[in-house]
Amino acid sequence: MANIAALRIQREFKEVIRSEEVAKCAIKVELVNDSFTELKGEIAGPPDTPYEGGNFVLEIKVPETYPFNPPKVRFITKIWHPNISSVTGAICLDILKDQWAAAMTLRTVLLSLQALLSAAEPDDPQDAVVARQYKEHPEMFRQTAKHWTYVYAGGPAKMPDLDDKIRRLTDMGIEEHNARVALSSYNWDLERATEQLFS
Amino acid sequence: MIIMAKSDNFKDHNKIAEENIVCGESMKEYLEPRFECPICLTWLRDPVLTSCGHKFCSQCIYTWLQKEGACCPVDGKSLKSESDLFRDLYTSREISQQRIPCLYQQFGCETKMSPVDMEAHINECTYKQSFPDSQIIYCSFKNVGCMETFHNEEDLHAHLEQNINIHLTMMAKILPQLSVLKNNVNAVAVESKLWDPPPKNTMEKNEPPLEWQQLLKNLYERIVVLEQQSKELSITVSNQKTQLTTLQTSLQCCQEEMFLRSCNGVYIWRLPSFHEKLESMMKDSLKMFYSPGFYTSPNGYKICARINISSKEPEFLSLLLHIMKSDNDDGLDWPFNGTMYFVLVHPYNWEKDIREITSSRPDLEAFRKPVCELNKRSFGYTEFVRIQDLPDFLQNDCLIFRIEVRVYDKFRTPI
Repeated sequence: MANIAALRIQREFKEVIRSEEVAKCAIKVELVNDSFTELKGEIAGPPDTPYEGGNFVLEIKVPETYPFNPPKVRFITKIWHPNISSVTGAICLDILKDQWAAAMTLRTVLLSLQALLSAAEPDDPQDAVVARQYKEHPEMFRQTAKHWTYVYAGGPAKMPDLDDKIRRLTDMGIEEHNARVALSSYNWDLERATEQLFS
Repeated sequence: MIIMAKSDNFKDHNKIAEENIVCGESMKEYLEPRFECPICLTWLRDPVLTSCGHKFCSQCIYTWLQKEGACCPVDGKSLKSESDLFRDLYTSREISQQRIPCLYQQFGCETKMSPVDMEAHINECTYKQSFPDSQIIYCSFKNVGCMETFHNEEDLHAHLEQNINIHLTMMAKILPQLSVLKNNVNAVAVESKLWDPPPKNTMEKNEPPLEWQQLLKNLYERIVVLEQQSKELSITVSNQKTQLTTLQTSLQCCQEEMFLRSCNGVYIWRLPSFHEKLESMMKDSLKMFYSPGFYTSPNGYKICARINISSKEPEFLSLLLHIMKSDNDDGLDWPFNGTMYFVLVHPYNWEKDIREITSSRPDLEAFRKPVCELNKRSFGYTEFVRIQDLPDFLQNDCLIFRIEVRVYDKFRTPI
């Protein structure tokens, strides 16, 4: 790893650790290896969103050309959001692509991601299925996102009726996560989800 | 003399004042933002000022501006490297006047220098030695008596995961002491209230200490994570169980199939609980029992045996062979040409075995290439054995036939 990248990450690491957001448990960064090339980030779901109360883990890979190129960031915790792939966790955010600036830091990236959770951009989607639901059935989207937060990110809101529908499918031998994806994608319409799974 | 002394004193004062200034400057722990490059986050080297008023190391900003369409990393204003960047000699001078302690200060080096000279000094510093790998990290449960220490976060996490029970026990032990302590505090507080003026802002005293709240919160978080993990694991386990059962069943099928394919035309047909079978055949004259299909060679004919009560002579049992359809059929000669041995095995005395040998006949429909699963016509003995003789051949109510089918080998020339 180029020296400047490692040195900068070391400094940034201290910055994140010192920052007040950490004190409020809103963001967190941990080392994965000794060479500062891989980090594990964590952000809290922002209040007044379906993600509230959830903890989202991120994989951060620092390229050798950092900070001249952005870090590669991806959600490890599964999440239902128009700008985040529900399959791979890939993120569609301009500052992680062409709008990156060398003066940005891990702290600003994590805070931007938190802001993205508060304000989705359905017109520039990463996950088209989620984005369509977000626009056409906003309440359904909220419920689904809340449910995913509960299941994968330790969120507070358990939803027995949604769990029930999933159980109906798992009883048929469908793997639980696949059942959840199918139901979420079809606005929790059990019949259509079943049709899609068995077609 | 007197004048000299005075001037000496004066000089000394001056010196002390000067040292204080240097000391004050060098004690600064953190880099002042005005001397920091926003790109590499260290002291500005050959500072450059942009037209929008931001300072960078010259190497940092030139590298950044090589990117296509790059703007100011701080405010996003467009910058041209030839016209919008200026060497900032003022800041350069200011930095060279700063005094910071040597990196190896803690090992005894007392040199102080400007950040510009630091690199050169570090290379020849006589106090140079490597820093300890990392700081010691204490176990998060240090306060309840866990004295483990670690050199990195990973070890700490592993320790926390492995010792949940021990940590919980430690907490349980300490909790009663804590409540006693709290009562004492309350008692003292009540006593002191008699003497002290009422407090200006009443604090909540029932709240557990902040670090305990933090500890509890951490514990809850861990529980949630662990529950999630165990949930996921149990799902994986149950999935793997079903997979294993399917695999076992298919393995069993494969083994049976293998055996039937590699028996080289010699099939031992065991019919357990024969009495039951015989009775069902007596009741229903159309009832028949079939053996599984076996092969004359792995790529040869597929054949199965059949028993039933003879329709013409009801006191006889028939033993017949059917040629079955298989994947090999297209590569074989038709009609089937070979010899068939039918043996009813006597359990104790091989001399009492009933043995029949017969050859195929090309004109019979039974030896043609099958068009359905099982050739409709069969070949064999409709009166193979008298039913009344059968009990002699039974051992543990099990009847054993040996069927041998040998294909005529037209490549072997008779000697």
